[in-house]
Amino acid sequence: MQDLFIYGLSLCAVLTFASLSGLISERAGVINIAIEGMMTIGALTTSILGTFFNKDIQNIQNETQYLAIIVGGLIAGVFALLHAYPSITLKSKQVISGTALNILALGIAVFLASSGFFGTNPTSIISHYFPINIGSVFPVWLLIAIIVTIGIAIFFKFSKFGLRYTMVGENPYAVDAAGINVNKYRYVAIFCSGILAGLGGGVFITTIIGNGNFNGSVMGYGFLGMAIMIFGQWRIHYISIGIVLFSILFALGSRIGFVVEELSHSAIIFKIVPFALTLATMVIFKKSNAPLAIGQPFDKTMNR
Amino acid sequence: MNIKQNIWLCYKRTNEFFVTHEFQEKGKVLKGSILSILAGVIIAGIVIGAQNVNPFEYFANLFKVSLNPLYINETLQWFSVYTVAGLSLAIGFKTGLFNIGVSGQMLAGASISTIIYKALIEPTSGITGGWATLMFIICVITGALLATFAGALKAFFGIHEVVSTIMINWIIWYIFKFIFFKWNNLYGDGIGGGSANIPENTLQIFGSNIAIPLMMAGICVIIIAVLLAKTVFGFNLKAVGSSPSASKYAGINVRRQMIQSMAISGAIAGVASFINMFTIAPNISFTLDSLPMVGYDAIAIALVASNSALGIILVSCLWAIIQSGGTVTSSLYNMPIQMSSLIFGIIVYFAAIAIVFTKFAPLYWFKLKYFIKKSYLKNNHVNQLQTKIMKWKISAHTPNMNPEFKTNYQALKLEISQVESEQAKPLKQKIKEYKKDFKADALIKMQKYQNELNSYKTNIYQEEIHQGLNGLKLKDKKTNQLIARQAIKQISHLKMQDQTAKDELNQMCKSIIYRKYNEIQAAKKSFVKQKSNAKLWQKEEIKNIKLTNKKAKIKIEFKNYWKMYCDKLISIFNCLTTKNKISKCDSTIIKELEKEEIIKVKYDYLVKFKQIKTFIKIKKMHLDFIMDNGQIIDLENLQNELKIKRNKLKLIKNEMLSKIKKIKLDSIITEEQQKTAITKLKNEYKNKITAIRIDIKIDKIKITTNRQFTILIQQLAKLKITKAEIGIKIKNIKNNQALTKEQKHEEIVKLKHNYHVKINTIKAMIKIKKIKISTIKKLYFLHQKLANKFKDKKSNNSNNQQLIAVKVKDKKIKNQKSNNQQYVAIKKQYEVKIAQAKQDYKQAITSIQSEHELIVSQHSYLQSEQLIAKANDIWKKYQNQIKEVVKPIKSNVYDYFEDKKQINQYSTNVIKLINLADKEIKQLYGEKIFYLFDNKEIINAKKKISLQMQQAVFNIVTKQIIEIEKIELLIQDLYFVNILIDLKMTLKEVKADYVDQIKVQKILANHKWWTKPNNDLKDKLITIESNYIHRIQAATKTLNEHHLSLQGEK
Repeated sequence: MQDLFIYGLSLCAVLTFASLSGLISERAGVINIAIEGMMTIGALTTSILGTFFNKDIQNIQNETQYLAIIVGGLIAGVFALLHAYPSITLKSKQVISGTALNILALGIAVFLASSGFFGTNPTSIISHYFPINIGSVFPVWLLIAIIVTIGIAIFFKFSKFGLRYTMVGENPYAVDAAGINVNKYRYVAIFCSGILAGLGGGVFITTIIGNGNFNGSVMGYGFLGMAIMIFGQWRIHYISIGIVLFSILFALGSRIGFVVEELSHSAIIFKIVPFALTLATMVIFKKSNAPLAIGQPFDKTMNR
Repeated sequence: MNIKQNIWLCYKRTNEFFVTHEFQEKGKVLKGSILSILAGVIIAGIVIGAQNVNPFEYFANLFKVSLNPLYINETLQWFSVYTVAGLSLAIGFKTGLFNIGVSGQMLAGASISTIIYKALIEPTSGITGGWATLMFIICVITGALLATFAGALKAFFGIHEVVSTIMINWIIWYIFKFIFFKWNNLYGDGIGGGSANIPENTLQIFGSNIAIPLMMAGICVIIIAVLLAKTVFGFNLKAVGSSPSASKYAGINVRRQMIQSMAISGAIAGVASFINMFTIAPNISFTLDSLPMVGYDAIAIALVASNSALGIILVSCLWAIIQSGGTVTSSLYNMPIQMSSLIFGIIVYFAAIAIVFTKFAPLYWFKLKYFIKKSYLKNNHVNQLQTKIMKWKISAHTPNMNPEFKTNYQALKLEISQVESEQAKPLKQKIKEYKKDFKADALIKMQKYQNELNSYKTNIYQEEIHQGLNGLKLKDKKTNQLIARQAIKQISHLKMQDQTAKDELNQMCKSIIYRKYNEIQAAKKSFVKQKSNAKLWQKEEIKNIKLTNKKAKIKIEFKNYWKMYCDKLISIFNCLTTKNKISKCDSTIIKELEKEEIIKVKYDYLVKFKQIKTFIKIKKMHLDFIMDNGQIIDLENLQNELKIKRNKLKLIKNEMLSKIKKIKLDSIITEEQQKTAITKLKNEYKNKITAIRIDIKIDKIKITTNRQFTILIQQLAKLKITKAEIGIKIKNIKNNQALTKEQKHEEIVKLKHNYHVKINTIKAMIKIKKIKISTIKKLYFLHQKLANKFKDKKSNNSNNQQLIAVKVKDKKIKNQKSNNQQYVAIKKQYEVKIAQAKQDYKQAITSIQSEHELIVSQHSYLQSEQLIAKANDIWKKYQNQIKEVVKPIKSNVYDYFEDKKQINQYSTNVIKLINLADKEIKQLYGEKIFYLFDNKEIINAKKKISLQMQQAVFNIVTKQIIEIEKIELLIQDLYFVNILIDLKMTLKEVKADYVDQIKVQKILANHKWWTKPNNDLKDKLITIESNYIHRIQAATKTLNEHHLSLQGEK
């Protein structure tokens, strides 16, 4: 039972980072379906660093995971610039570059994970990290995630930059007329989005996957984060509701089998619900609250 | 055109094509994809080289391995899967839709068909051709349905297809994961977490298991290529893909196109999943939560190949080689196995940023460099510009490097140091502003120089190209191209003209053919009509001939009879004479006897003679009648005619109705026009119908006359026969010698009396019949007259007046010659005559009208008789119903009385019970007075008794309530019955009244029915009838209402 709680709460943290990553990118008007890929890169970096920190299996330095995850986030942020370049500067289709990034990330991750370069295991990277909890149940990363969420909410609501930032997603031409560099804002947004996604990947490695075992994919949690973002209609309060709901469903789906053994197979149904719910919300909110300029590359010559 | 000309045209066209914008765009795309592949391969090579492996050797080995006979099958399998999946994505991209859901669609198709395989196919027979086709269809349909769903979401709800397909992907993943985990033994592999394994080499044909997949891939490629390049549908898809709004304004249903393209994409994904299932991935493992990679690789292929069918084939060839040979070659060099996915990732990313490569033009750069370096001046100028640009760039970023800025800045700083701290603030701001301004200035300058340099460079390039021999060559080329272009244009124009002329001719031909065809059709129709008309005419002719034949036959018969009877008569006379002779000869016989015999014989013959005569007379009568009417009154014929006429009536009515319907259906005509058209039609048809109706009436009358006439003839015959009989009998009696004269006389008198009665009756009958016939004849003539007279009424009137006027004029002339008095008298006479004539005319009209009314009244009388019969029937029905209603009521009443008795009994019982209880209580009190303190028994007894009493009372009360309800119902029923009886009485009265009145009127009418139409009589009759009908209608109405209400109550 405790395991279920821990799993659910850590899932909350992962999904918070994933969905916030999507939110930040899309609020600036850049579609980000590469959350999965960025998370993969974050997870990859974290696990690789973990292998270096924990070379001695008997003496595992679990506290190093903070550093590993943050570095992973930064590298994922840099990786996210690969999405920013075509989608902002080259003005190509953002969905396509996102998909390409996903494939690239998966390719890199699978290549490195199955290379046997890092750690002792030849088919996957084992970082030996285990979750740090406050008390017995509450993961530290969830606390951090909550703080980040509140910070972002405040940023959007009350800061001048936050307002400008939302305007970049809503009407970049107006912002440009006000003398603000739209593309700079978007670059920063995607970098931040990459960082958050990388953090999510790192947390995924340390908490959800046992033993910090990375085998090349983050099991579609990036897409789940995107689903939450759409479910929450690009609003942070709805997103937080979605995070809680979806992580409960996913935790039940994967861990209820350990509590009630008869449900071990049927519990997978719980995992269908989030995606179906997202589809349903999209159908219900026909005029979704998505940023108006989403998916449109900013072109100064296109004066609307 | 010659072959030479054709070749020339072809050559020029290809040249022209290479110059076109379209080709240049395509070339750019081609360049982009080739360069992105190259870049990917180079980066992969760097990665390989970083592991101390020669990348060239590695790639060579990769190709060697994958094209090795050991691995070629796998390569080709991969190739076919990738081609089909890539096509699936490409068709989406063409419509501007990004079907990421290919992997999900493939997964769904494959999973469902493996479930079917495990559940149905494996236990029975293994995969046969039929099962394989079934699986194929399932794959295609599931893929198409899923994609259509996503397309519909996009079309109707505006949900981006990428998002919706991703969601659908994961939903499908978890659904099938659930199925394969939950019912693993039933549908899965039986181990856990995977689909059932499909055996290898199931799609083997002619010893190779690659033929079918390759064939499928080829067919898909051809279908899609043709669809996109050659059909309107494909053009619409591409139009929607390039600009949805423009295509919407061009009249393309964008939503439908989107859904259709998604459906096609999904169907092709289903094909890919079928191939994939039978070749590369015979089972799907659901243990790890990651979707199968084939769908994502397909995205890469479609991206890199930029959605062209040929490109997809080439790129998927490369992908297949890397995929199938990658692991083996990597393991050859002890390298990580998943090299292929890395290479794919890199290539895809470069394909995504292929726009960068499209700007890549090395030839142009080299040329430009050469042109600049060629002349010293140009080189110098360019260098100067570049240095300026560099200078301003540096000063924009770090202004301190610029000496001008430095001096100014230092001067300002000096000022600050000299001034006190309070005054320094505005100066500091001034410094800041200066810095900003300087930076902006520097940037602007840099931009300016940059522009200058660019324009200078392009100028140089243009100059160099258009100068010298090369320039002349270019000019020549361009002029040539222009000429060729014009020629091609003209040729195409001519061709177009030719084509249009051909089309026009074709259309003309078609129209002529169509007209001719119509004419032929019309001729055929008219021919058929004529034929039918001729047939009808023939039939009529045949009928006529038959009629004449019949007439002739009857005449011949008559002649024959005549001859026969003549012969018979002659023979009888001969006999008579012979017998007479014999009797005369026999002198021995007593003369009296002789006489008697002679008399007997004579008598016999006389009788016979008379009979024959009467027969002949009847025949003659018949013939005469026939001759009079000018036609044979054949009952059957007449009836047939009647039928035909009725049918005609119906047909005409139907025609009218159909025409009216047509008119109503015509949406073009307004309602008013419709109404007028309908009224016109109705008028036309009314005339027709009335004519036919009159005809029918005449026919009916004819039939009745015929019947009556036959009866008359029979009666006449009877009369004659009876007369003959009387004569015979009288003669018999007279001849009877045994009787005395008195007896004879008495008997004769008796006989005569008897026969007189008989004859009288028959005569009366004959009279009646004659009257009837005459009346009917009159009716017949009246009908005809009616028709004629109404027509001729006006004309007659005018004619009369004219005649009179003429006569008067004549008389006037005569009278002028003679006396004036005479003239006056004559004038008066004529006036009187005119008045008389007018009166006569009026009388005639009135008589006609009255006659007509009489006919009508007779009809109404007949109708009233029918009504009476109907009313009687209805009354009988109601009587029966009333009986049925009354029966249960009666029984209920009886029951009610019985129940009352029972209630009385109950009440007595209750009283008894109460008495008993009292007694018991008293007993208890009396006997067990000692147990007063614990009087439980007493209480129990009391309770028991009271309960019994309550129950009894309750029962009685409920029964009473039920009875009361019943009685109420009965009362209601009885009320209705009373009404019914009243109605019955009134009906009876009415009937009796009417019958009496009618009797009186009939007696009156028998005398003066046709001779003098009595107005009073008519009026009376009409009033009586109308009254009667009204009353009967009212009675029947009320009856019906009550009946309905009764039913409702029930």
